[in-house]
Amino acid sequence: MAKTLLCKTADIQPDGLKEVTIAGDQKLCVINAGGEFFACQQYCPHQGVPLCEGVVDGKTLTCLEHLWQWDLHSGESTGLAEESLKMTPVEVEGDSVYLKS
Amino acid sequence: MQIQLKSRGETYTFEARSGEPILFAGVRQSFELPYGCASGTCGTCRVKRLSGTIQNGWVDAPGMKGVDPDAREFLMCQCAALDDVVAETRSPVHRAQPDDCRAGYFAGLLRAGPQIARDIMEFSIALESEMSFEAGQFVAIQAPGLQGRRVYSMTNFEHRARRLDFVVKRKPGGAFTERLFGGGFDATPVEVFGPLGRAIFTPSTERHLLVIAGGSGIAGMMSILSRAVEERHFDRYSGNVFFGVRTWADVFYLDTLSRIADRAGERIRITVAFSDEDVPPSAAARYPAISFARGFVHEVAAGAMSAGYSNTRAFVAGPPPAVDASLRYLLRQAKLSPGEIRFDKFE
Repeated sequence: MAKTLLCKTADIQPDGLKEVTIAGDQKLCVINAGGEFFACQQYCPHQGVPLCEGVVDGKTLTCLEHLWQWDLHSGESTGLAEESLKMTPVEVEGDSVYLKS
Repeated sequence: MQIQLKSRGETYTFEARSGEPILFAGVRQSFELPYGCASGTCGTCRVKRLSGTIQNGWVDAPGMKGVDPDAREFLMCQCAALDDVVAETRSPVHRAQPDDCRAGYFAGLLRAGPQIARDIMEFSIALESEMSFEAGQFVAIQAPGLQGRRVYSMTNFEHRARRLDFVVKRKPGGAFTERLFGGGFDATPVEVFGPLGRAIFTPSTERHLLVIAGGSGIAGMMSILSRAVEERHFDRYSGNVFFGVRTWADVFYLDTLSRIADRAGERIRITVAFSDEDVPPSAAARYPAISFARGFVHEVAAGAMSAGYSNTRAFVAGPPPAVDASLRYLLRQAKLSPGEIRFDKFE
């Protein structure tokens, strides 16, 4: 089965975020955290604001609406966040980022 | 009407008056409820209705974007109970001890003016009874003939205040500011609800202060600086204040900020940043206690903060793009933890 392409690695600058739509109109927030790629739910579990407008620093994602923060490896809250983040495993092959098969 | 709010296995019960926003009912009875702007913009006071009937005062509020009415969600700041209501929130709720700064309804007279910069005007409300508030708090103002309440931060700080001072930017098409700038307020009776807001400075804030304000976002910062000077906070801690405006025609409070700088002593540094034009050559000579720079306010702050950010509490206020840019800087460059950042975005 063909892998699901999310984007090219070059599409997202280091510490950048990008909204990607996959099958069924599901939206993901794809993150380049210093060269390591992650994907999580696109909307903040708190107030539903787009997480691709947030901030990445190291392996921490911050939503700018109320400064909720999560660890990108686990999706767990690292600060004010009262709910964890649903992470979607990804893999990089060549110059592309795919959903982990 | 009786309101029951369920949170984390507990039920908190309070009475609400007819037509009163459920948020205000809880806050004036000393419940710590989840809220931010108290004016329908941020969505923080979203709860889920389990039973009862509510009336939504502002269906198209910007804060409704994350609210699902089909799932019986509503904003406590915009909705009144029509009968007994049971609702549920995922955020923590606390019953606080009633204190001096307990919120309530206050009657007062609103007086406009003067205009102090392009599209910037002061106004004040003379209260019929004393209100105590913390530096950095705001109130919700109900003016006759205007739909809904307007929230503004006080610029002054006084214990047991009989007068609240404000500064606002004219909003084209905005009913409140158009009436204010058009001379439509002259000792006009208003109802004030407050104080509200948790982005406050108190003497227990044993931190260096980093203040970043864009435009009329300086309002609450003036209250904070007044209190900090009064408490001699800058005898022990530094204060770095960055006030961003577009051009010289937009700047205000330079005399007041100069007085604050003189009173606070050498540990405070106040910088005015101009985003859209170079610093006028005469500025430094006219206001020697203030520094001036060209650039966006967060960029100017980042360039000036050479001493680092240890033990620092940041206060940020202004229009959303300026606040977001400042938050990015504080998180990524300054490495401040969110717990040390207080911010207020307003439309």
